[in-house]
Amino acid sequence: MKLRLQLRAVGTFLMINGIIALRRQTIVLVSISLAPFTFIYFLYLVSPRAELPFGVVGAIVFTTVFTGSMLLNDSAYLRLERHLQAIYVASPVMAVSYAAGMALSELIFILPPLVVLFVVLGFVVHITPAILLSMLCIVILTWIMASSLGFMVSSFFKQMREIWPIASLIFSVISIVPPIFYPITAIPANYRWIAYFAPTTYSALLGDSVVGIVHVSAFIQTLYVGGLVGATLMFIGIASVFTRWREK
Amino acid sequence: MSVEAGQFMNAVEAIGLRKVYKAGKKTVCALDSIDIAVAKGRLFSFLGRNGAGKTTFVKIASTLLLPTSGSVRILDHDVVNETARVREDIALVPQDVRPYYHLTPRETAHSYLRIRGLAREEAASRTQWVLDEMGLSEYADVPCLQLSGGLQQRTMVAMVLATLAPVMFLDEPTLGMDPMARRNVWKIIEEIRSRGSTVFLTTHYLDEAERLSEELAIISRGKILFRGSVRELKVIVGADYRAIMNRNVPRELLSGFDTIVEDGGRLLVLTTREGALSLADAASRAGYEISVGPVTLEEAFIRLVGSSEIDEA
Ligand SMILES: Nc1ncnc2c1ncn2[C@@H]1O[C@H](COP(=O)(O)OP(=O)(O)OP(=O)(O)O)[C@@H](O)[C@H]1O
Ligand SMILES: [Mg+2]
Repeated sequence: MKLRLQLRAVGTFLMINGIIALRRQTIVLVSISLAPFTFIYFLYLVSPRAELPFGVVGAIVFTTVFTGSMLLNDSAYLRLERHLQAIYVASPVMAVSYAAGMALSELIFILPPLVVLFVVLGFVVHITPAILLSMLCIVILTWIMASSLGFMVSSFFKQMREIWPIASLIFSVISIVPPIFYPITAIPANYRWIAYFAPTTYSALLGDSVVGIVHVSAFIQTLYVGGLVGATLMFIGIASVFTRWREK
Repeated sequence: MSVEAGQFMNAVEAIGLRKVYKAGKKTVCALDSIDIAVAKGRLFSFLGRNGAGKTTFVKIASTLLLPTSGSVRILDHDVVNETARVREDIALVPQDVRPYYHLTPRETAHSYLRIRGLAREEAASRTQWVLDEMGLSEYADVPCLQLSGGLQQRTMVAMVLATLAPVMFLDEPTLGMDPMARRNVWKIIEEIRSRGSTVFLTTHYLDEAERLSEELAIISRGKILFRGSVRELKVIVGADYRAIMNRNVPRELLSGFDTIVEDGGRLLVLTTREGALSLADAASRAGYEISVGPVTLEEAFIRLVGSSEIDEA
């Protein structure tokens, strides 16, 4: 069956790029975990304890967004440097199966730091099963959004040298500039509207309100949900139209 | 014997294929109205100098790249309009491909066969078969990162040939392989052909093309110069024997021979069998070194492509 073949491809890419890769280069875990934990640490040093929960929620969002950046690099590397993607294009594997398998494999890499972050979150705020579930939904939507963006952008590059500056620019803009590690009220009111253009802003705002460190009305929270779901769907849509699987 | 439907269909058929690359303001016409037909089950070699357009053709035919105009059909399916259907029938070794560095050759081949729909046991046994045939058993469980360049190339070829796909595109598959490894590849290619696959090969090793192909085409600057068998090429070149001599032999020794080609600092005299033997006789009497033999595909290629470039200039 066709669907079975595609699912098997997804599973295989998860295996070879995620599970086997993680087993053979465990050191990557350290580098991935470094950035969010460093942020939390500095936040802990410089700001009042009350700000810490923002840092933990932010670190969860940041780590999740990082999967997009990893996917961008990995898929560009496999396509341009190894010429491996060509083997999969000239086969029954669909672009979406390749992208999904690769995106899942990046998720494997952030799973360990994510688990630690959730445990830390449990120490700084009171977590119920409903909150945990909501947070997991935020993680999944954010992962899909970042992966769609990463895979699409990756497909535009013609050579490896172009990637690093552009990739880090894009992912800095969506993972550091928005109010991820601090409350949105920390941004001067006049400029706050800019933050609403960053899709990750909704992940963070929703996260903060779900764990109860920011109190908003049910209406506003629904808006945040709409913002996150809408941004995710938008990125999936854009990626499915513009991703280059075949060269022109 | 019953005649199977579609037995006489072409496996690869290009009609009026054109590809113009745009690089900034410049345009490069990499393929200029190419017509090619490869019958099912054949081995076809596509030869030409660097930049002639071979990889561009392979990329279009294997659904990696869109043509500017014209069409390619694989087993009677159009590569642009029936892409998904075509992809079920093809497999490709791209030029300069390298394996996942952290996977072993076994994992590389096995995972690809799984992706292409083989059941686990079937994939495992076919992987073992191809690793044995490619002389990779010894390295089967070593991460590719620790393998030499030629062993990595063998891994990639093994991975793709193991699919036994109906139509295989091999873009310089034996690049960087040692002579024994190349022969292993030839053996598997013969094997998969005997199982019914069509093989479309590009290579700069013309002994390989001569040994393997029933048909070939030579492309030069995006245009087909020749299409036919190795024998037909030699007929066109107008010689079946050749003598190789040092460049400083006296010219009077060569009088009466019209086709003399510079070949990397030596002289290549293309002639008939009798001509070659009498030249050998005269040269050795005069004390000059000479080597005589049947014209190879490589020599015919140098003659044909070399003279076409002189014509153009
Ligand atoms: N992406 C590209 N953009 C612009 N020009 C290109 C591109 N790819 C190939 N070309 C040009 O098209 C022509 C044909 O290139 P191609 O790679 O098909 O040659 P080839 O016959 O495979 O050569 P080789 O034996 O070196 O592999 C060359 O002039 C090359 O410079
Ligand atoms: Mg080439």
